[in-house]
Amino acid sequence: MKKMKDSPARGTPDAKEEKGIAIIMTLGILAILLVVALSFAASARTTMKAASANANVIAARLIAESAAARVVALMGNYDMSQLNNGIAYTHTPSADTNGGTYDWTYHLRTVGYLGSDLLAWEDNAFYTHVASASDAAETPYLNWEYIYDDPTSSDKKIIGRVAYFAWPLTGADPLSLVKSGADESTHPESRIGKEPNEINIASLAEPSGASSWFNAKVPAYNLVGTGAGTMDASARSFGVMFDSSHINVTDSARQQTIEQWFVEDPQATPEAFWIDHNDIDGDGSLGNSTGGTSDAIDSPYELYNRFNLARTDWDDLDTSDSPSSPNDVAYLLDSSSTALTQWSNSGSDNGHCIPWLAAWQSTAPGYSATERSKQIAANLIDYCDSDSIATTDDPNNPTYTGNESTPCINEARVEVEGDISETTNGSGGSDYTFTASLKGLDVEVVNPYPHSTNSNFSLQVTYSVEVEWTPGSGIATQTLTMSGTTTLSGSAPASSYKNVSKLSVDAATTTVSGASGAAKTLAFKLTSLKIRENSSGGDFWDYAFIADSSHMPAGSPISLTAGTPGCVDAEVDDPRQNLKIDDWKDNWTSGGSGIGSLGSVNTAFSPSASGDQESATEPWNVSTMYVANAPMKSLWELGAIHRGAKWETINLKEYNSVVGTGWSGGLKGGNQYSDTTGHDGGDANILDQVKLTSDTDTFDSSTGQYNYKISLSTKSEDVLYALLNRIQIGSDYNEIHAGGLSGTAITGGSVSTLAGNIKAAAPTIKTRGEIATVAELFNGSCGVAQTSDAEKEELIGKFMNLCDLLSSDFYTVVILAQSIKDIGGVTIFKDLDANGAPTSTISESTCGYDVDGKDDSSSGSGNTYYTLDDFKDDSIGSSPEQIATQYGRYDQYADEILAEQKIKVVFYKDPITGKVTVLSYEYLNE
Amino acid sequence: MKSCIMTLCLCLGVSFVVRSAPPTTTKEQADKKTSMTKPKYPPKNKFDMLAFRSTVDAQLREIKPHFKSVGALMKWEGIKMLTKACVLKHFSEHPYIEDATNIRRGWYKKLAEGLIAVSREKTIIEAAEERDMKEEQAAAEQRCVQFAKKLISILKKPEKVKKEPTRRRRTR
Repeated sequence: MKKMKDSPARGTPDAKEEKGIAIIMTLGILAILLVVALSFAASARTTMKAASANANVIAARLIAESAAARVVALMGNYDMSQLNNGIAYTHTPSADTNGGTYDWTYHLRTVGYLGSDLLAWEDNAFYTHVASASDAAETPYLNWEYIYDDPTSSDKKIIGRVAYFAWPLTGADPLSLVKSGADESTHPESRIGKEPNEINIASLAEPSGASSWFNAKVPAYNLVGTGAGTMDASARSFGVMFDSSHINVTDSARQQTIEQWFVEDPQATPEAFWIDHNDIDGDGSLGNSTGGTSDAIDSPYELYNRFNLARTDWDDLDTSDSPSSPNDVAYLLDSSSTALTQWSNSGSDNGHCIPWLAAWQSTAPGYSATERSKQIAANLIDYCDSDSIATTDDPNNPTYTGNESTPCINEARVEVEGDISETTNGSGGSDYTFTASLKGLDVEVVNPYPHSTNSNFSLQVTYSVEVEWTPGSGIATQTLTMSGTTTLSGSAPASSYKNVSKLSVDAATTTVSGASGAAKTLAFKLTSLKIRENSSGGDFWDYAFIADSSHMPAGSPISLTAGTPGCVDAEVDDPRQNLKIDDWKDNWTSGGSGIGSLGSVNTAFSPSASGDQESATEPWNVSTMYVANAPMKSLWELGAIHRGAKWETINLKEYNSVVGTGWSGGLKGGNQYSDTTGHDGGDANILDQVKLTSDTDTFDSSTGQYNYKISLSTKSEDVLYALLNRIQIGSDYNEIHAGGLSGTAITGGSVSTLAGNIKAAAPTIKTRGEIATVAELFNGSCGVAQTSDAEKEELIGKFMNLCDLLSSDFYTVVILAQSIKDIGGVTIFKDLDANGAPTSTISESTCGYDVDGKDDSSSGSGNTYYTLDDFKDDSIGSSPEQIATQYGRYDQYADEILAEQKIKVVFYKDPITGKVTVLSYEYLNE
Repeated sequence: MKSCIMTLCLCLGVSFVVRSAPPTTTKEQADKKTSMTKPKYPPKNKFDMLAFRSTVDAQLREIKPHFKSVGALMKWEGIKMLTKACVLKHFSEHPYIEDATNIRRGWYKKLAEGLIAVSREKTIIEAAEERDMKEEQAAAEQRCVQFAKKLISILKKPEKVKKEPTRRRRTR
């Protein structure tokens, strides 16, 4: 075994050789210590840097979270357009040195979990920037809000900034599109426009071509118990909907396609309409409100119960008296605070008042606005009630008479004769015998309603005719008056005229003495003619004031040749508008007995000249000549309600933008029929104020039926396409009630285009009725000709009750926050154009950067935020490469963006209470 | 004076009514309101009885030819017939009619009312013809002829005034 060599002893040569080792060892140890120290130093430095970076991230996160709280707090301050189109963190540029900066906001771009771009506002007119506008004009648009260390200090420093965008979630509720017993795969729905379940689910897939695979899934969307139906309330959650026991879709792309159509687990929305009265006295009551200026914010206290047009108590709305009484009209028009009640989810409420009618503004010849309001209300009542008794305030002296499906007084003719006989009287003069005869009285009745079952009528004609003789020769003018009441009867079945006559009705005479040879100049005038029409059974049907002492035929007194008959004839233009003298007097003519058009269409008949402007040769050819005598089933039927002026029916084709949501220093209702320039005409506003159910929200608790409506603010054109698809144009109103809906169904490319039109218009509208501003809904753009008034209003009337537009309930908010190191007091040089000389004056187009950080569009043509070189060339003009930094001012390219945080929050806003609930909170790392 | 008379006439002028279907009878016609204005005439001794009688005779002569045949009757306009009837009615209420013509005023009244009935039917015939209401026209023609027959019988038998016996009985 080899012996181990021992260490050399001290003093030995070997020991001398080992001198200096200590220093080496020391140095070595020091070196090691240095390395260790350096590593510790490096580690500490790294840790410090990491800690600093983390602090910046935390700062950014805190800023983002504070923005989320801001969204929740301020949600009630946004107007409806903002709420339904997306809410940007808006800021008034002029109010702050840093106002109007947009740089890096493109980072907000986020692909949503629905697979869609959450920041797709480039096609949204509401958020389009104006390239040439000043920053101040861009106030409504997205920009940064800066956070300072001490906002009130003069030497404040920027510590960060935040921007966000809140995107409404709107779509269809799958459970509301299906109906018990209806197989969605066979398109069984009849599109009358009453409930959302008329929409066929298969229609959702048509525009995108997804039908190839989706149609196989459609049967599974049927309600449980219907065919292969699997739908129940649990399947409103996407996870359940997609599972194997329901529609069984596992492919993520297909899931995303479906997710774009539906809202997951939606909430019922109120059957309410909005009066933007901004109740500044804060008592929450419209009736005694001092009123305010409309602020476009649909505050909860501004929501009111819609009026149920499908109610079944039309025969006696006011149960305190007899049916068809004036109180029923008063009931409908009562806009007091006790009648026009704020919405509450009481489960069932038929409503009490339609403000659009109650606050009617426009007059018609012979009708005050109030009378017209009552006339329209009576027409609505008589359309919906079951009886055929015209609603009126007084059957013997009415100021309004509702239009029932009965014959109407359409024309009247009066034939008069006069004669004078002169005989020598034995006292040096003559006796003159002056006679007058009401030779004939004719009344034409027309039954303009093609589906009318009422025909046998009785007329009570009250007349007063004066025949004047102006003899001259010192003899005073003599007047013979023939007045009285007579009855006539007849039968006018649907779509027919009936002329009834009374012959040799009356006569009068007088004898006067005077000088011989007096003139025989005669004239006559009609000083009163009024006709009441009853059914043969005594029910009140119609009334017409045709002449009175202050409204006589034009040209009165009308000259008359002694011994020769003279005649006047009066016609109405629109037989539904025949109550007042003004409806008649313009059509007076005079002449022989042959004048007039008794038994045939009136000479005055001119439906194309006013109102609905229809082309028709007979009254029963006018498309809106219909009275259902039943509660409404479709809002389309509103278009058949006569509007209290000739040839005017409720005009669903125009939205009155001046009246808007019905408040301007007071409750405002209908005005002109049409006003294409001032936009103070049209009646589409009424569509907001009515409903077809007694339910107070879109869930029918009594039947369990979900009737969640489609929001017109949905960004899914597929949903809008389904809303319109297969609506039939050219139906008969009667088919709404009798069934067997005819007409041509719209579908395909035209409907896709129309859906695009609605989507484009939706961002700027505030109520569902305002969608009538989309002209393509009425002009045949749907692919089927819309010629008559009924056809023009058919489309909007058949989908309006299936959709709504209140503030959206669900939002996804994407928030972008940056922490910033504010540099100040030094000049920073940046060679932005990379030419080696960071002192030159450059333009944005030269350097390719948004120098001032306030741009959003490229060359004035783009509207996108999300590309780095998206800017307009509005160089700040000085030397941007030499940045004289200031504290408190954002100096782009000088101030340092330390960290950025993006979060996504989904929340639900209760449309009534305004309470906001956060549903999810997610930090995004992209 | 004349204006006073005119005013009085106007105030007293009352129309009479001739109702239409259902068909009326002579008796019904007699029940109608037939109030006439009454011009004021001078005293009998200053009144020209001959001139007045001549006027009355002329009016009666004008009536008679229209009743010679149905055809003649149908050519006479209803308003003219009515005017003539009112003239006869005026005669029936004239204060000197019996003095001037020696025919009872009651006869003139019956004649006037008969003629009013005929004129009414004739007016209906004319109006119905204008309106092409054949049934109404035929019915009115039938009634017109019936009324005309009665009128002719009246027309043929003027009722003379029998003054003396009445006075004697009253004296007693």
